[in-house]
Amino acid sequence: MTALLSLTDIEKSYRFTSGEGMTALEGINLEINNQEFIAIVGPSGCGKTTLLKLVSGLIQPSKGSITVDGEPLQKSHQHLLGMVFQQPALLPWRKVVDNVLLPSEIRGQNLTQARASAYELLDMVGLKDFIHRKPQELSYGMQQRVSICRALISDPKILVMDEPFASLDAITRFELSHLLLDIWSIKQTTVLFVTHNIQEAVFLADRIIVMTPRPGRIAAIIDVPLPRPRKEEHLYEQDFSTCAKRVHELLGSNAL
Amino acid sequence: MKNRWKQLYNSEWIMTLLSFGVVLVLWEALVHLFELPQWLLPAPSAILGEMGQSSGYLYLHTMVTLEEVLIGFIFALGIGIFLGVIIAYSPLLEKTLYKLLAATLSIPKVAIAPLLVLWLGLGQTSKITMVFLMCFFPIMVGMVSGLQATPRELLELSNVLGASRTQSFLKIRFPAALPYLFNGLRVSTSMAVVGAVISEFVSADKGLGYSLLITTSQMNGPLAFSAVTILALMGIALFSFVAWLESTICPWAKTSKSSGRAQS
Repeated sequence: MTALLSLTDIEKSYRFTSGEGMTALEGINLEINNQEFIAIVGPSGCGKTTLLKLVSGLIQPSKGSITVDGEPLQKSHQHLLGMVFQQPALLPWRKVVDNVLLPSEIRGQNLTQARASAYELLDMVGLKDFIHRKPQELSYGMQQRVSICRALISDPKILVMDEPFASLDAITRFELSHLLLDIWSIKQTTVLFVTHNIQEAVFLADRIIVMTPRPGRIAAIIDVPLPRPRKEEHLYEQDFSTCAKRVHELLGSNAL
Repeated sequence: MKNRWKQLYNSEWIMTLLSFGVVLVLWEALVHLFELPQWLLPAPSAILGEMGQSSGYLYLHTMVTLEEVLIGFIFALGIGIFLGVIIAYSPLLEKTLYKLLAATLSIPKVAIAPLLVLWLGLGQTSKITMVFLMCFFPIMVGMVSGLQATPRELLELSNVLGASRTQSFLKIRFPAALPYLFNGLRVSTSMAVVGAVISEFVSADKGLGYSLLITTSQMNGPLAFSAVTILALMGIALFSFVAWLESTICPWAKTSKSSGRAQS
């Protein structure tokens, strides 16, 4: 079975106008399978964002290759991908539903159809009553739910999330983690989830990619031994804390 | 009863009107108390009476000035937005044209007024051009800075969605820039009337600025004050129109700061 997304010997370096160079990523080898939930953990400056940009085709690697379903990654693969940022990044002049429809509009898709699935998605994340509201009337957590719907509108194969819950309070964060797991199992997408939070990574992911900085490298890929579906009680199990400890140690010894 | 007073106190409109009323009453009283001559400071009642009596004359001159203000403003709006957009999108134009225009900003526009008459003649063209010059800069600067200030996350979003330049402009950057454009517009509304009056002062045979010049030289206080009143009202009307337009087109510029969010 070929992996959904595979990165081979990826290197990404930048050259500044001063002539100096900087290697952001080096020796990245990674295979991501269909419907897998991958968390990427690492200190700031470890190239997580660069990695996401490479995967979403916004920048090209300096060396190595990225393939999707066995084909080299191209601009035309962009519709396979849904992106959620740390900020909701909603357009304040558009109603909630019209924000969700933005990707469909830009890609020139059938809007009647898209509207129906936008309603469905908003219902799924519990925002049925807020469909015709403006984003600024919603709480931050609700806004982030809208941005998840926007990422899902074009039925992406891969949901890329760049620290999506980092600006939320602990309780909302927990709520949204559960919601994300529900969405993941309903939509059967692959998730690439960047976070600073070790607990969050262990709770959500099948595998955790631990990265270290300068240059960004993969320190280890850890399998999370917890069963699905994930529940709160898993947080207090031995397997959970062992796994979290392992990630912590890897980060601790390399982050310095 | 107490609540009624509180409501009244909290209503912005009522309080503004009330303060105007108080000033007018004081003015009226002072003029009568000190028996000020009409050419020095006419009472509000005298001004109002004069406005009624000379309504035909005032209407004629008001229309001339209003025309200059509106045409100049609309030209400034169109050209300001157009140049703002191409400057924001072209690094070359930003380094050349934008800097050049910013430099000419420091020339006092009043100093050009006689030159405009020399170049464009005694008619309305020189006045419209003056209004245009006064209004153009704030509008263009508002447009440029608005387009340059697109939030980074919205630019990333448009990249990730694979939006074309046109789509990105129409769906994201231009609407996001509107509050900045309106800032410029609000500044320029107050400049528009000033521009028209200044160039009518220099040389004209009609318009409120011209009539102000003539009536003061004839020491006709009530009529001069009538002209000033109308000019003030014109400025207020233009400002209110732009403010109304802003609250209709981009209400988020204000509501984003206010509370009243739903809880998740």
